[in-house]
Amino acid sequence: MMSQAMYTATKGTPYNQAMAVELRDVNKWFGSFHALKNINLSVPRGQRIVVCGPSGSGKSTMIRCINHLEQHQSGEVIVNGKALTEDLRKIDEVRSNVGMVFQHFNLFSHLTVLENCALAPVWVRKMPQTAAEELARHYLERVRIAEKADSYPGQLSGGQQQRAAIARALCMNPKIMLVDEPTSALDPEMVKGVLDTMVSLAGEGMTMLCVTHEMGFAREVADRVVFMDRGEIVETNTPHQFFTNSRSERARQFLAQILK
Amino acid sequence: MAQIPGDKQMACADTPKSAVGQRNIAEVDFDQIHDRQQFGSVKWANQWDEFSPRVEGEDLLSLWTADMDFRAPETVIARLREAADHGIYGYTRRDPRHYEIVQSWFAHRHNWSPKLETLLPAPAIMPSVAAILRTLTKPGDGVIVQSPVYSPYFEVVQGNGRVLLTNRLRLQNNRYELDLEDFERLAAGGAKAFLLCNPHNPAGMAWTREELAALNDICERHGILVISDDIHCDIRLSDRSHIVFSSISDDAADKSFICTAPTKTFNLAGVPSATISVANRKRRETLLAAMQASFMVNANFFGRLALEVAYSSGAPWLDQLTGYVASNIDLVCEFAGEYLPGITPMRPDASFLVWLDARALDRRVGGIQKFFVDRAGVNLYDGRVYGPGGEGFIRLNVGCPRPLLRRGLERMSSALASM
Repeated sequence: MMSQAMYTATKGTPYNQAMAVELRDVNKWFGSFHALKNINLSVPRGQRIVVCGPSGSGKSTMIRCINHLEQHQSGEVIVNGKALTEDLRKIDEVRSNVGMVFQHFNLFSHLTVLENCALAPVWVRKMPQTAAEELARHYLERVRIAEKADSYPGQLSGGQQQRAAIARALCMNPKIMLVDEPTSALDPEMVKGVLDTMVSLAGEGMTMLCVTHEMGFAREVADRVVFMDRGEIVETNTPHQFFTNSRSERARQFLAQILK
Repeated sequence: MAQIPGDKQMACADTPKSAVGQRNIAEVDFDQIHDRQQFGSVKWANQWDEFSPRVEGEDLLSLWTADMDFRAPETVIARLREAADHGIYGYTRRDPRHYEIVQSWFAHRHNWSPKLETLLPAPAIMPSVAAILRTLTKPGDGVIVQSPVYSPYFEVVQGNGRVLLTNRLRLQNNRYELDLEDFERLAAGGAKAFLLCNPHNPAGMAWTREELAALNDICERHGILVISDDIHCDIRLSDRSHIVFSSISDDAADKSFICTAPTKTFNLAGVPSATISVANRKRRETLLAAMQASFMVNANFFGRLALEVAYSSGAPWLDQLTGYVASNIDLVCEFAGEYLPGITPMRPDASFLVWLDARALDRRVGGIQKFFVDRAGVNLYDGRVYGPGGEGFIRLNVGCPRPLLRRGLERMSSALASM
């Protein structure tokens, strides 16, 4: 194990311990495509952020940089006061605090729902199988699909699979939850159940960054809305201001598109 | 060894003056990341050849096929640049000095000095293996390979109408050991040739003199020819030195074909040139005649030159490279121990490849290689490719800048945490 001294920030500005996530001048390219352009964002602990914007605007890329499923090429990503750029051993501290829910659920089709949920606690946390399964049942209850514990993902509706994926993320007891378009792969009638689950999570004080176009959800739970376009954060605003009186023309055009 | 082998005799026209006698080279910056897309890199296209489907991924990190993301030694680059500028790319030949360079390299680096007359020119190792099998065995003859192993071995045996006899290596304490009983059984069952991988790819095991002697005894008793592929011999990472099979005894030399090339060592896979040492005169003449009949012996303008310059001036670069690769392997082992639960790296004795045991995890996630492609954006080589015994393993190529390797390890760790 590396010493704590390795975690000392090298840049001048100290990291704000009250912030769950800080992005400072973050840039990312895919080849010549500039996917994230000078992204700056501070998310205090317990805050709920909704990220929206047109397709290809960098929303998913930005949140995937927070748990290092993708890497930024310049700038700083600081999670719970730990910068990701200096030493890879910090990734472990970061990832142990960050849960991720994916658009396409990413459940393993050959494992039951219960096994899916218990997988990371057993492999990553070295939890005994029985304890992990107990934990998994607890969270499956919590997202109201306890009766599906022994089913395989293929036997569940999309909405149920996404709730299972949320339960799986919760099993790792994250302090920060990253959610990437949780309802965009779902049939319309499935959306409500997933959003209800998300609303209830949001009520528990967990820091949450959620990429979604569900503006009803944004109005109900978001502390702030972050609007992105072409790799940039164009506007950060309260939901009320964003929906009724957005500052940027691009945001107004986007809202006109999705709300019509 | 930080010396240029026999640099007096190496002072030849094909070596740039700047390279001759250059004992201390500037520190090579192996950390530098180069864009390899522009010249059609197989590795970074994530596609084996034009016939294979591409592994898709916008931001896929390529840590799979066995070439390195490093520039060749500057002496090689400078000479190839001069040759390119010369602009006349006609027929060239390997003169006697070419073979002296090869001999000198092996004498200095591996304490093996093949007689000059035993050395045959070859375009690359695998075409030579194919030529040896076609010339010195008959269709239907058995050929022993030791799996898990470099997958073209299966293709070269079966694709040339010979019968594959698979001698599984035994996994003991996170190392591979020989299963001599099984080897003997296959040998007694009519095998005519044995394709030895020394050091062994994918796990980088260097076979000891005792192990090679035991294999030689069995081959001697059953009249089996030994084709030894020594391509990974130069990057030495442990205290096990490289023992060339033919160096263990006269009868070992007599039955063996030692296949060597500088292509892995100096990252020259795209400008290949190889040398085959065949001590037995009759078999050497037969093989050379067959290779000539297949028009395999003409030198490639750049490949011949790259071999000569690399072997005569590349030693200091190789020593630096070896240190860098060793540090990359330390990083993998240290990182995996803490942050890649369910993955156990095997420390290689040689090469820039690390064989990762992920068998239990592979069963859980239903295919660990695909898991890392889909969920981490990291392309590793699936152990299944290496035949029986490879299931659930993945091969990680650490011949890359450390920042890339770190990035790959981080992503793998994050993917495991969010599985």
